Amino acid sequence: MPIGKLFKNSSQHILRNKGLAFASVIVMTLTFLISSTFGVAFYVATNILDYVDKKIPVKIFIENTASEDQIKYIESTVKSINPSAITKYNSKEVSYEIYTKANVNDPSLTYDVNPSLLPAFIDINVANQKDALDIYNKLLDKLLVKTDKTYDEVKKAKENFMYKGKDLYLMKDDFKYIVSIRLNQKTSEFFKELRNTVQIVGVVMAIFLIVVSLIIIFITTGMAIYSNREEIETMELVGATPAYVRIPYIFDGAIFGFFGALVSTSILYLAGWMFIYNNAGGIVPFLNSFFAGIEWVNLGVTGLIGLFFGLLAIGSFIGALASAIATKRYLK
Amino acid sequence: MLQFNNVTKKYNDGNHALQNINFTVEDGEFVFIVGSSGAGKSTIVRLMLNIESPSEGEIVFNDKYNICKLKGNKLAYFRRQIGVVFQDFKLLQQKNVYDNIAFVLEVARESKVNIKKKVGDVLDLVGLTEKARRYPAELSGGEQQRVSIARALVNDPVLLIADEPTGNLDSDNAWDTFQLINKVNNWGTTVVVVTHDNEIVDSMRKRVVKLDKGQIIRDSIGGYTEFNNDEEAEMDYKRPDRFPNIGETKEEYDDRMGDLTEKKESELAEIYDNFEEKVEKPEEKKVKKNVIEKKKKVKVEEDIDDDE
Repeated sequence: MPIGKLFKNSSQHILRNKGLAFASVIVMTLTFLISSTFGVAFYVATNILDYVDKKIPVKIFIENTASEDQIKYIESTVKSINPSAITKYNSKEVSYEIYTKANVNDPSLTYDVNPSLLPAFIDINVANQKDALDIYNKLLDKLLVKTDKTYDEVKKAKENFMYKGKDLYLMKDDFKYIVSIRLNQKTSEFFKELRNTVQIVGVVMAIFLIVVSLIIIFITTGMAIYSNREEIETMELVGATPAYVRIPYIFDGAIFGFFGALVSTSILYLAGWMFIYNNAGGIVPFLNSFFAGIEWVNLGVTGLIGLFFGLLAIGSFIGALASAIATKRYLK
Repeated sequence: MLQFNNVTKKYNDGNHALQNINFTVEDGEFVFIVGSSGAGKSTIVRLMLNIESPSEGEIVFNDKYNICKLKGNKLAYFRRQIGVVFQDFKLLQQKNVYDNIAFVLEVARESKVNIKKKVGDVLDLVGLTEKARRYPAELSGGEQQRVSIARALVNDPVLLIADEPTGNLDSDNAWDTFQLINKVNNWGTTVVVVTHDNEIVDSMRKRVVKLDKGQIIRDSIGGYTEFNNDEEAEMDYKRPDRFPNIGETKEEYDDRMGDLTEKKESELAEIYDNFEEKVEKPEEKKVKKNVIEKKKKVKVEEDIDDDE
């Protein structure tokens, strides 16, 4: 059947069952909107997780006054704990660059800040989180010593300190130039959990909504078949093949799916454009302050266009599938 | 063309719609299937179109296919070789006359050029060219039936099946409809008509298959009523008080009518009574009334002609 004829038939079917057709498109839109939102949340969580995973797991912040020998000493200490660990010294200028990048949207945070105010640091990179935790704990054992002083006393003495549980620790005498040691493990675990939760909830919601959409389009197609039963009977009597009778209804379903996907995907893209590129609500700058340099959408223009049409194709497929099931059921 | 071999249709409640039906329709033949309500006439049509399947037996088309076993595309291709005319016309209300007819060819994937030509030809045949853009609701019953016939013929069917084609029509339109069906038969199309219109059947002298309680009780050429012999049947056919028989030429009709219009009503009544005595045909009392009305009509027409 020519495509023009299919469109003509579909418009007639839709006009005859306007209410149900509208309901089908709305349900498809909701299905896609909710599923896509979970999809986006999953994508963002994955992006953050990648970002966090790529982040150097252990950092040792040091005073700007630390000498080259002292820095080498720290590095050799790390190597003595784990010979495969890779260390890299970053100057205060690098710190300043990272800081300004993270706060690029809030000039008040970068105003009057210069490299001399920020600490240099040593990145310690290892193959996995377990090694990172091992190095971190061993470094704490080697570098810190427990103190009976109070927090106020330590602050007053301008000594570098760290907490282990509730206990306060100071840097050992050989390592007084170390400001602090940081492990990124907890953040990483949080995003892993978040991603898993989003994935499970998203998949469950998507399956549920897809089933609802299938049922709604199935009913809509069934109603269309019922209201056109005389036409169908006549078509069959004059020699229409089963495919000739069924294809227009399957096409109707594809149209419902297409429009549902079109509306929801357009809303999603519009939201993306507003929040990511137009900084609506300041959400992205806020997140950027935590995840400096993260690329929120790294699909590129071609990827985004491909995704858009891919979603339309999925919507059309779901609609067509529901209608195909309905024609199988009602057109025996 | 069409063979019913030991066909039985039994419903789940145990009732037999048809029992052991055997008959053959030859190429180019015109067959009436008659009988009272519930005799099984429509079941035969439904079986011929494979809308229903027989419980036993087979229906063979063109010595090739058992219709009952056709499914899917094969059934569709088979149905394209058949034209069907229904009592309720089965026209699509949202399509105009042209589209209702063209629809059959679209289904068969004919080219647009062919569709235009064939629909034009068939509209011309049924005399509805001027009303091609009208919708079924804007047509009279007779016109709708002509559209239905045009739709049945547009695909050049080898077999035309008509199920009570005059059931919803007045006598004039019924007459016109059968004139058309007869014309199609004369061109070589095999025709099977299910009807209970005895006047039509009587006026055509075709093969009549009569059903009663799902069984064939008669299969012979003649009128609706079975006469004792061919002579009686012939007499009935040539009865002067008949309207023009379907397919009858003007000369044949005038011959039969003789100077009927000149006779007085009392003479006509006498002719009718004599005829009734000769041919034992008691059920058509209304013919007498028709004759008188016909006479009056002819007289009025002649008066108008004279005035002009």
